[in-house]
Amino acid sequence: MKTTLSVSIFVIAVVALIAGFATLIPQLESPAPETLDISGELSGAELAELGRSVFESAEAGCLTCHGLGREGLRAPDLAGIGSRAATRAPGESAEEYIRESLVDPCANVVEGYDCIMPQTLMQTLGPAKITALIAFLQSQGGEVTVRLTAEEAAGGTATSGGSTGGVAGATAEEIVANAGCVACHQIDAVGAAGKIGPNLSRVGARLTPDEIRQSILTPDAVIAEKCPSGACPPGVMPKDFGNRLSASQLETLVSFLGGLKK
Amino acid sequence: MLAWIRPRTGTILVSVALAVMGLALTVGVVFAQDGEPSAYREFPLIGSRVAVWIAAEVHLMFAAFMLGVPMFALVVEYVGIRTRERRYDDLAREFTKLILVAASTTAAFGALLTFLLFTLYPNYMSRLAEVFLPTMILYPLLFLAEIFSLYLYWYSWDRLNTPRGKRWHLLIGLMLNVFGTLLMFIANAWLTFAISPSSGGESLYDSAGNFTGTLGQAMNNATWWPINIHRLIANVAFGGAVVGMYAAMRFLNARTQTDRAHYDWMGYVGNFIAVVGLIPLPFAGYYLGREVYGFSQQMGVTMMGGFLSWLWILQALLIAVIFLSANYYLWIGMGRIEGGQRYAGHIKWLLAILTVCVLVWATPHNPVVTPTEQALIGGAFHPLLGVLGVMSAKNTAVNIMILTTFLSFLFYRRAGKGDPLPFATQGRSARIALVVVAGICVLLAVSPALAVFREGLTEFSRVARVGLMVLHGLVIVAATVLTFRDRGKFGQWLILGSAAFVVVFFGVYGYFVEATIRIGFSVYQVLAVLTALIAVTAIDVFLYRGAPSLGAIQWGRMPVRAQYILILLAVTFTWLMGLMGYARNAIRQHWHVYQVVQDTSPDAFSPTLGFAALVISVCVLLFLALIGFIFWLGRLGEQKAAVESPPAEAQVVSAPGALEPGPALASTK
Repeated sequence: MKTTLSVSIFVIAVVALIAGFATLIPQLESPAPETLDISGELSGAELAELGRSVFESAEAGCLTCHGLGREGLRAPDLAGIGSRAATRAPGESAEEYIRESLVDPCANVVEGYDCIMPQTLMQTLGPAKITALIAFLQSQGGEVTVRLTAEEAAGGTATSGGSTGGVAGATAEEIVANAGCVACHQIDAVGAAGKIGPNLSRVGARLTPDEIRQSILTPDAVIAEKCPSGACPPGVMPKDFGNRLSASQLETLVSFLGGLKK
Repeated sequence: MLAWIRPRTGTILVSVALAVMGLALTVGVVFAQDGEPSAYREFPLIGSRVAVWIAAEVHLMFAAFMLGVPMFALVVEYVGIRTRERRYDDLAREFTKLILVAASTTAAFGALLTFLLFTLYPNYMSRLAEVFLPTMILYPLLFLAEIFSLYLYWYSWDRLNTPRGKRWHLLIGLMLNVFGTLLMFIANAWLTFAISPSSGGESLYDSAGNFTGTLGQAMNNATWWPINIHRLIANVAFGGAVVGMYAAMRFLNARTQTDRAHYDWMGYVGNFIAVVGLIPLPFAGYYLGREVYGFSQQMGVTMMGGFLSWLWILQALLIAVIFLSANYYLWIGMGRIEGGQRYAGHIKWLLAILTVCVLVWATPHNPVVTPTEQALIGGAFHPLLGVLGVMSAKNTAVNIMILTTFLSFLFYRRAGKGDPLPFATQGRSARIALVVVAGICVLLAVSPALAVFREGLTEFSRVARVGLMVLHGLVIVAATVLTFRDRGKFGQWLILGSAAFVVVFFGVYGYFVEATIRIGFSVYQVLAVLTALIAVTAIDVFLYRGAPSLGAIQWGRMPVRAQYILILLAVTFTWLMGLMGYARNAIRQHWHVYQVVQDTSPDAFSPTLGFAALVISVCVLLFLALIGFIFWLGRLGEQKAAVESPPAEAQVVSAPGALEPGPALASTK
């Protein structure tokens, strides 16, 4: 009996030590993607409310740069955008202007700001969330006119990760262009002039191939300090390149970027 | 005719009933899909995920024990037949008794898991059943076959205890292992399909989410074979560790020197099996990791560099405990062998090497860190220690750890033996056997290098691969020749030195080449070590066969702390198994079937390591408490039998054996 008790105490102590160590090291949780039911016949107010969720989500990342009722870090304050939008571009309604600003942000850049907004928002969020986002922005001082199209309304649950398709191309130049790297990064060798992410023109001189690979596959593992428009924003670069690039495409890209030293 | 199975009829009936219920449930749910079942149901208090988690993990622990132990029970029985030594037969029988009493609990947890899965996750199980229905029907039938062959194996032990009957008995044991292994392969197909629903590089689903593959493709998915191999080896190691714990408990409670001697020997055998299983496990793990990366780089990165990155630090700690415990047990064990003190001076060096390797292995590489932590570290990697966190260093460390553990075993093995006899006395068969083993080792070592050679020696890394592996092969040949000339011990050191050199060379050279080339280096490190283990063991067997004994092994003269080491080994192994179960499932993140069937339940997020540690700890304690209780029940029956028929007086003596000299004992049936 005494032996059994000693062994039991020993076993519990060992298990407690291991579990204790496990709780002491950094605790990371992998969240599920946010799921919004954007479907059916929704009123403007309902759509705008769903759009608020999209606006505040890490997936859209709007608040990384924009402010709402305060000046944004890198981009305009969006309070009152619903009323301003109709006057921003000649011939465009508020809805058209906001949509254009979301899917083609460099078409009309507010004076005093650079075009640093990702051009991959439609790819990331999908059409239903974009429409909800427009509704929310219209509701900021304006009338919500946008509605879900029949296709969007029948679309059901909208989840993240819209851009899970593969990337075409075999050469480094093709991969860089088709993966959308040029939208955010400056890469002199291919004539890209993006200003959202770090300048990659000489990335091979400061990062090892391993670090470049890590930056492509897990962009938020290490955030570069300097971007053309200030501190580099986390959460902007898509995290699905590990699925979209084939192994050989990834290695081609790493090799190409690693060679950019001068 | 069937009178001899009566005492266990109840247990058989319970197992049969559970299996049939599982089968009925599977078929029932699959054919009742006209209605719209809820996507999820909630389990009270602890939630569905934790309920399934605990049922699955405890079932897996029991199943691993049930699959691992029959493998070495069969081997030990075969050794007993070959050596005609009764104690091996008794040991095999005692191993089998342990799985016999654990069988019903394994079945009960299997049935509980099935119920929970089909009731709490009906949609997911329905999707899985669409693909795997034939195997889900086959599974309970195979389980029945396994249970029947287990009982047949156990209850026919006396009846088939004749030279001719033993062959049949071995065949039944083999069938038991075959059924068990098939069961594991089927279950592995289900779980690996959820991880990697692709085969031959092609996805098995179209863009609309419809299954487009065949059952064969679904089973032979990207991670099926790596998991099969990994689990097969891990089950043996785990079974050995649990048997070691059982023996330690019996040793601590033993009242006679005879019992202590027997359970000391049994504990030694359990530790030996655990170590033999442990040594190839890292290789199997790397194979699995490579296939995970091959299937999805994102999944690979999530596993090693994403939110699971800190898990591997914990894994390194647990494996370090296992390696150190296993070595420490061998070092203590040398104390009961006359002549063991000759090697006492080497222990501090072995410990130093192991400690350094453990520290390297536990060095983080690219864990997720906060900007503040990055600032404190001075970048993504530590300026000094970061260099040790990469795979080049870790591969080198683990291979050196394996070589060091092997060296401990080698010292233990020859501790009680004097100088080897001249090799000429070993006969022609020994010479032929050594040549064959050396030939196989050389082929193993050189064949990948030859493939590189055929592609051309266009760069230094290719020359290094070919040159070093050919050199290693030549060293094995030279060691064999030296053995023939009675310089076998020197030959062994040459092989071990050559393997260590290959490991360290590729470890250091890995820092100077691209990742794609560096990954390939691990193959040469593994092959150098594996061939060294095989060749050195073969030489050692013939070198010390018939060598004069320096004295009897004092079985039973082991300190109490050695028994606690065996218990520590088993607890750590069990915890590690739970941790790897969490890792295997967490890499799917919010997918039931990766990228195909999304988890939309409230439990779709992957929990933190701390939370996982709590659940794993509960599973480990539950498993150990249950198996302890089951063993205690088995012992009650044994005591009753002992009262009815007192055992013959046993002697504690040493005698040479195939595994290791052990005490000759009276039958412990």
